[in-house]
Amino acid sequence: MGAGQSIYRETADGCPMWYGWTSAMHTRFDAILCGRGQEECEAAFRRMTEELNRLEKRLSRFDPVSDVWKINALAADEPVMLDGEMRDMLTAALEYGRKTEWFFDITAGSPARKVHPSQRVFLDPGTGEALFKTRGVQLDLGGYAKGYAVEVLKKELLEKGWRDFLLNFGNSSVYGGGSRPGGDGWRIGVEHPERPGFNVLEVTLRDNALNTSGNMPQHTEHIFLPVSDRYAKDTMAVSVVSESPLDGEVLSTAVFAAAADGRPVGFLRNFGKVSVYGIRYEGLFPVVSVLW
Amino acid sequence: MEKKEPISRREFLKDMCFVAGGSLLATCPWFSAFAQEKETAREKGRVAVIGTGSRGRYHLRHLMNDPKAEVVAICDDYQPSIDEALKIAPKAKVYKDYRKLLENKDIDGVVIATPLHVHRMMVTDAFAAGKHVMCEKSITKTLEDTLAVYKAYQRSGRVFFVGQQRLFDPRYIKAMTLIEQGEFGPIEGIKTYWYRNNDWRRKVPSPELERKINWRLYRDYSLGMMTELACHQIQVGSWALKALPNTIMGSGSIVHWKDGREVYDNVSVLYVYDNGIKMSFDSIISNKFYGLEEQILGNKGTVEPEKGKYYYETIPPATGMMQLLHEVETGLFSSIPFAGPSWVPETANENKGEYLLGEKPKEDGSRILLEAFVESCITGKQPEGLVEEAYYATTLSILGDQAMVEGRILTYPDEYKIDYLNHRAPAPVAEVQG
Repeated sequence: MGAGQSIYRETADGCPMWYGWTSAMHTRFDAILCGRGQEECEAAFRRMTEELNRLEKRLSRFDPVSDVWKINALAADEPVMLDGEMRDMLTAALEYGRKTEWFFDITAGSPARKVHPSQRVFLDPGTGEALFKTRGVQLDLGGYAKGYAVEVLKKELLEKGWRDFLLNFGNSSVYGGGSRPGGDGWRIGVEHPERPGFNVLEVTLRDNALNTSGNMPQHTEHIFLPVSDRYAKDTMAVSVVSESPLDGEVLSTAVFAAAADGRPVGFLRNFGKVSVYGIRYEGLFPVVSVLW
Repeated sequence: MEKKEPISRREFLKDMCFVAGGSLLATCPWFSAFAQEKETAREKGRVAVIGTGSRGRYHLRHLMNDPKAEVVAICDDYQPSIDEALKIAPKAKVYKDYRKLLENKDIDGVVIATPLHVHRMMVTDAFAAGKHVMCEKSITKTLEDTLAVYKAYQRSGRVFFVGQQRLFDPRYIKAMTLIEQGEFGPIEGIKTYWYRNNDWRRKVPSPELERKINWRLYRDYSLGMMTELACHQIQVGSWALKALPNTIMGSGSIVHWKDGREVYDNVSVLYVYDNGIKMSFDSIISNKFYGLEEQILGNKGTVEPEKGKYYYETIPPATGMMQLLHEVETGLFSSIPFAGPSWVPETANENKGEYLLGEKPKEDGSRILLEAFVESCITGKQPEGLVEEAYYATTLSILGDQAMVEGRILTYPDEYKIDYLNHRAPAPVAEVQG
């Protein structure tokens, strides 16, 4: 995780605008904060980077001191006691699995593929313990953590009275609070992966999130398709606009997984107001379709 | 001659205030030269150019394009240069002897672009004649002469400019503003270099003119790359670090161009500041691959003002975020393309940096430097800091050469210090009563 760097600017009519960025969770985290002085912005960003650091240490499956590493190492043999935050997080993640007909699955890619995802992890609500019901189960919160982090950070900012801000986690999890100075919302474009600067889709965010999952030509085979039991190779993407960055994160992955296997996305009715777009990069011009 | 339509001075100053975020005079106190720009709108500075070689004619073109400058006269003792200059300023009165030109009461200020070895004589004579002076850098080629010019300037009450055009270059102004704001963290070192691949010779029509035309190659006239190139670049050190070095060392040699020249074609000089920070100057004129640059190395980022770019130390800022910031600053509204599948370092482009001015640089500070001089010729007011920056650029260049020639580590001599930054002029010696 990087120490973070920043730029402070003022608009022509004197509105302060602060941009900070850092590396976190193997990608870059950006925050633009508006309307307050440099010191206040720096303090808020420090707090955000501390929180990201903390979450990364808890959720990385590659870090031997993380909670997820510990669960993955032990839970097949013995129940692992979880603290409140971890218990709530796993409960919510498994519930997202159920609501997306397991197209979103935090155990996707586990060797234990013959066991249905709903039968892989047992969370004991009484004791607060986690137990894998079979060997070969591995938790991977990589497709969850960024949305979760943006959800946490956005809530914290709103609680502290911040109104106009933009959070961007690795370009795939964006939340626009309020509006950019002098504008009406934050106008964001989903960029063509091979044509920098070219918008495939344009969205205006006002207190809502834009999440995108998909394959980039340089970075394929990182989303597991539970139905066809393979990693997706398709050069396509799914963008979701929703109020909750966490809902958006989960749904962009789930819809991508369903669409890549040609499955229906009726599970979207289990969620509140969301807009879902599918983008296929075929030929010179990408094809964008409204999926929901 | 067809006149270009460069950005107007007022637009430029407005841009510079924007570039410096309201701290223009703090970063560049010499911009006070334009403080009375509106009041002097109908006035003209009457100027002359002494030395109409290539650099002199470059200045002449800028002066002819400055609506507040009236080019009264030109002077050179080499007729081909005069002939070329008259094509730019056909109405200018021509002098062969600069002393005669200095007698002309219709001239407020002179721009001196002659070989280095005559700077002291010409500048001090110009001050004595009551003229304002802009002299090409370096000021002179010895410490003694440079101090003498500085003292002559102080006594004269006239305006003194030196051709350190980076002081008026928008790229450098923006870079220094960001450095002062701490954008790149504390500055840890500066590496300057100027590489070329040519013999640095001008065509000589007959052998007896060799030293007159190729004066840069001979020690009676110049200290070569130190006074002609380093002088520009090491000035950046005092501007960025707000300090002057006290230790100088280096090594110079003639490696490639063994053609009878007396100045080095391959130099490395190191300037050490009191806090241990170092600034280097390297120049080789038999390889041009790296070109020229001043790399200002901060703990959080690097600036390359010559390229007009800066780079952050860890991961770069997001291009989309930078574009968004720029658009909000400038009141533009478009959809910023950056969202997409997760950005991972493997898919990121190499760190290509950001443009200091949001675009490729268009011009250096030479034109504005001259316009500032003309403005000061009208007001008679000396802008702060400019002479001192130039004084140290010159003396540090000279000391760099001295360190190489003598092959030893030098300490900046107290007797050549003036009151600027961490240096103090020596107290006057009290007369001893016998």
